Amino acid sequence: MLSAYHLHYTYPEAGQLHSVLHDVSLELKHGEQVALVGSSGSGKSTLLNLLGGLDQPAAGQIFLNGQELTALKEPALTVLRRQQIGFIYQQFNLIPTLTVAENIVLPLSLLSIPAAQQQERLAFWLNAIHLPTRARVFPDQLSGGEQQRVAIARALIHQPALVLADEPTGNLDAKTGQLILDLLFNLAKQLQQTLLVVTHSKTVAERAERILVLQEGVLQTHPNDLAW
Amino acid sequence: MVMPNLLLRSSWRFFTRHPWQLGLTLLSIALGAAVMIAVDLATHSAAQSFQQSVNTLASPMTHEIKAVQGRIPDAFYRQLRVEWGYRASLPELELPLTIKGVHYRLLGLDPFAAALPASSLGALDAGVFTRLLTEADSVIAPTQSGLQRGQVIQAGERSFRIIALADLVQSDLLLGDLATVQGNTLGLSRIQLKLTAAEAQSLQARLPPHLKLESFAQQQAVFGQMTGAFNTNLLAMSLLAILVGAFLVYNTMTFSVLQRRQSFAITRMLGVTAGQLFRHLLLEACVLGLVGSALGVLLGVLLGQGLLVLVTQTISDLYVTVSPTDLLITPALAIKGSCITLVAVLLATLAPALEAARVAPVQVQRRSSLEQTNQSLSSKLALAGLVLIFSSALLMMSSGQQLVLGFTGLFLLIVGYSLLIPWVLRKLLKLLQRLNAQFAQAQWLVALALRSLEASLSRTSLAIIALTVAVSATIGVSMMIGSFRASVADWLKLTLPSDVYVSALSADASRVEGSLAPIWLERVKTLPELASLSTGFSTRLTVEGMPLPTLVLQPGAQSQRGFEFLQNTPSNAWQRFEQAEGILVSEPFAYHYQRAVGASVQLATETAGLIKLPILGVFRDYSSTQGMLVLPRGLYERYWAERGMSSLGLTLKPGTNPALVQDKLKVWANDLQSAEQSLVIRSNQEIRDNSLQVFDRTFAITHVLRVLVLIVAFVGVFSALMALFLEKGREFAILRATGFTPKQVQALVLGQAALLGLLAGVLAWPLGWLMSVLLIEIINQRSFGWTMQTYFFASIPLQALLLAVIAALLASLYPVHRIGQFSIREGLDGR
Repeated sequence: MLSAYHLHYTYPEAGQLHSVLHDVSLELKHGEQVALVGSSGSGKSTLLNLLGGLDQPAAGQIFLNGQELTALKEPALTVLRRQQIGFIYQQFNLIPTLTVAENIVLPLSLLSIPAAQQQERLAFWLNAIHLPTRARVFPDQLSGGEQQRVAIARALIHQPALVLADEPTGNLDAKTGQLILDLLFNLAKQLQQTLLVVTHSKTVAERAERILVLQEGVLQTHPNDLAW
Repeated sequence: MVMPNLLLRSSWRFFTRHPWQLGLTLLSIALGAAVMIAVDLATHSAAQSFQQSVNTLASPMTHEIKAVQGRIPDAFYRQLRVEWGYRASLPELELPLTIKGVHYRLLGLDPFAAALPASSLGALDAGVFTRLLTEADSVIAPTQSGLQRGQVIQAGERSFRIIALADLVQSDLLLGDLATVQGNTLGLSRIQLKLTAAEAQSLQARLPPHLKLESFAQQQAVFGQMTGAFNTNLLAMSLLAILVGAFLVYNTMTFSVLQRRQSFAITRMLGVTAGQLFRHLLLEACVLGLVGSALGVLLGVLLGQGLLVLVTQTISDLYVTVSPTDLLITPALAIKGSCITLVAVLLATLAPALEAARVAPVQVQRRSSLEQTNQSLSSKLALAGLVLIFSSALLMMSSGQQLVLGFTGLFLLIVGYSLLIPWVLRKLLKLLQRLNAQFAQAQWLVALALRSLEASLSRTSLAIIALTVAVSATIGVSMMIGSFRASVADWLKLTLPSDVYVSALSADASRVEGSLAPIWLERVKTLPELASLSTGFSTRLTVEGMPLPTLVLQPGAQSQRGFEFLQNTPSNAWQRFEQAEGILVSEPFAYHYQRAVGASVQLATETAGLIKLPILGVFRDYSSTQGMLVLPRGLYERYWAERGMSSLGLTLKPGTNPALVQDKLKVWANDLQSAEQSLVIRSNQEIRDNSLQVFDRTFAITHVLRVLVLIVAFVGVFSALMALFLEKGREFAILRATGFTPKQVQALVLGQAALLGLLAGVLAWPLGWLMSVLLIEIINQRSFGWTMQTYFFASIPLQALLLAVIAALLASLYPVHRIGQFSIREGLDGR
């Protein structure tokens, strides 16, 4: 479903090129749930950005459902992101000037899904994230856990093939984090969506079917060499 | 692709959540638009007022016959109407009246000669109309004149009685039957006609040389030519307001994009394309531009009322007498103003919209990238600025007499200099930080203020540019007006060599003086206090095909002192002039017609057709922008039959008190004055004072526009400081949490504001000086044809610096007040 071959990523600083990712190759199967772990600065978020089409590698190829992301120009990449990828971030990244309902249906609106269908799916997702009565409130009126639930609904509502989550419980307490993980893993499983979760947490990683380890920009072949 | 509705909703909520930001954005747009629309409305209304004064009764007439000099003989009217058959003709006689110091015009007309529209005579009932024709000395006054029904008005030896008030077209115009107004006066002021183009051509061919036929459309065109430079100057000032307004719109739009960068990043990540985001921001700007320009139209109409008084006053002082009229508001003017504003807003939004759309989603999330982009951008902008300044110099040098290109060069200079400012600011702030590190005592606090300003240059530099441009306009315009005023004062000292002047007021709006009765000359010669006497006759001659003011001079012993010769005028020019060998021309004439000493000028004479006379000298003259000629009386009398005299210049014996002679002359004036003549008797000092008053009135509108530009800039600084406050909320909260008192944080903000003003003030100096040089050396000469001395007034740059600092400090008061009520917890939460 998702394949990456020989990815390299560098950035310039003080006149020198710094390597963040070095010859990274990986493959995710349809409906698979994978955790990506590694220490700070190991390049996890950079790899997630590349796989999500938010950034371009210095070298290497990425394929999503047979389509080469790395060969696409920005407008086509944007459309692909819109249709096939959902993102969840540690900082929730909800739009503060849109209500909970509007934030959730935004991907459907971008895909020109008819209004009636949007409302139908919204009702389902508001129930799924246990916020049926908070549709009209704005993000700054919600707790962190509630905001992350809204972000999960927004990432999944348009049924993307791939869901990328960057430290989804990093800003939450243990109990709320547990609830969010239950929600995320269960819903992705139900909808047969491929899930890649970047995390520092052993608890989170252990919920995945497979664990990938990134160390100083290199993907380890022996997952047992975990830092923790 | 259809714009997602949610994006629009999100924008709407953003602005409603930041009402001050929305308000200031709209205010910036509205103020810029208002100044432009007000100037446009005022100049168009003034032109309309001129049209009314040309076609006094708003009659359906199309042309008028006037005498080249004096009046049209009554016999000619009979010939025109009876023998030549021009039945659609209306004879008129217009006389000047002064009632309790207020000038009016009394118009005599023959209502039976041609059908007049009902509107021209107001709602007069038949009874009043009959009384006007049958009762002796009866006249009608306009309702809005303040005159009373039944009031008897005196005009010299004659008196008239107001029998009715009516809503006449102009408030200074009294109406009477032609026979009543004529009394014993001979001749007509004009004959209005309704002609087709073919009829006009045939009549033109039959007219005797001392009469001329002009169409109202032609007069309007001449008015347009005369006031064109003045209007261009006003337009330039209003465009400056739009330019400053556009800087502010750019500033506020950039800031609003920065504030929403996170939201835009999320939408880009979710699948909004760069093009969609770009179009969305332009649409947002379009809506803001439309609302702002609608407010601008309303504000412009209010402002236009005030400007109209100043514009008509200036046109009356400089060109032809125009009465203030109602503001002429047409949809076309409002649409034109709104469209220009909208284009300016869209252009100002283009860069921030492109920046927001072009950056990849992953980059948009990185906070520091924008400042880094701005740093590298400032060098590129500085380079572009230098190119524009160089282009401005090239354009100025190569554009000949073109006023519009002169202004284009000036604008290129302003924009080019503005582009240099961000780069210069970075360098200046770095220098200040180095100096602070070496010399200052409270290093860390100053360093904090300086670094904080440097870190937010992407927001503040635009406000500094706006303030710099506004303050430099203040310096440039003040230097120009100061130099101009000093030059005029010097010129007036020189140009009025006699002690007392007697002159006759003009009977129409042409500003050519009237004619003095010959007995004046005889009387004045008998004055025992008189040392020498010069006489002048102001007339209008056809010079190079255009009617031009001309002074026919019989020079006195002191007359030469009244001329300051320019442009290599030879030393024997005055002697040759006294011997009637040629003429003198004013500097504006030499400039507009490109004639130097030794060249010749073509004049249409009464007795010899077209002749050419040599230019003996070019003299400095600030009295007319069209240019004027001075002919020796001997030469004039060879070619023209009219023997008039419109002014006398009396040089008194040493020790004589001019006031006593003036009193004596005023007593004579009361004896000699007839209904058709108003006299002015003034000492040279009174004329100087009066002229400088006229000068100050002329530039009143420039001062008003300059203040408006400053107000627009002030709004920009206020907006930038509010933006800084919002941006730095978290930083302030950290400072407070670490032990800063609210007063210390407030002092920090005040210090930054003062520094911002100081930087703008200092940066305005070079631009202000350059603007003053261009205004004096290029714009003034191209507008009016005169040169002047450049004076340096040290107080002006210092006042400008103070103005910039005060404006910045005033703008910081509200943000500083808000800091006093600031919640540390909310600040730390980033709310």
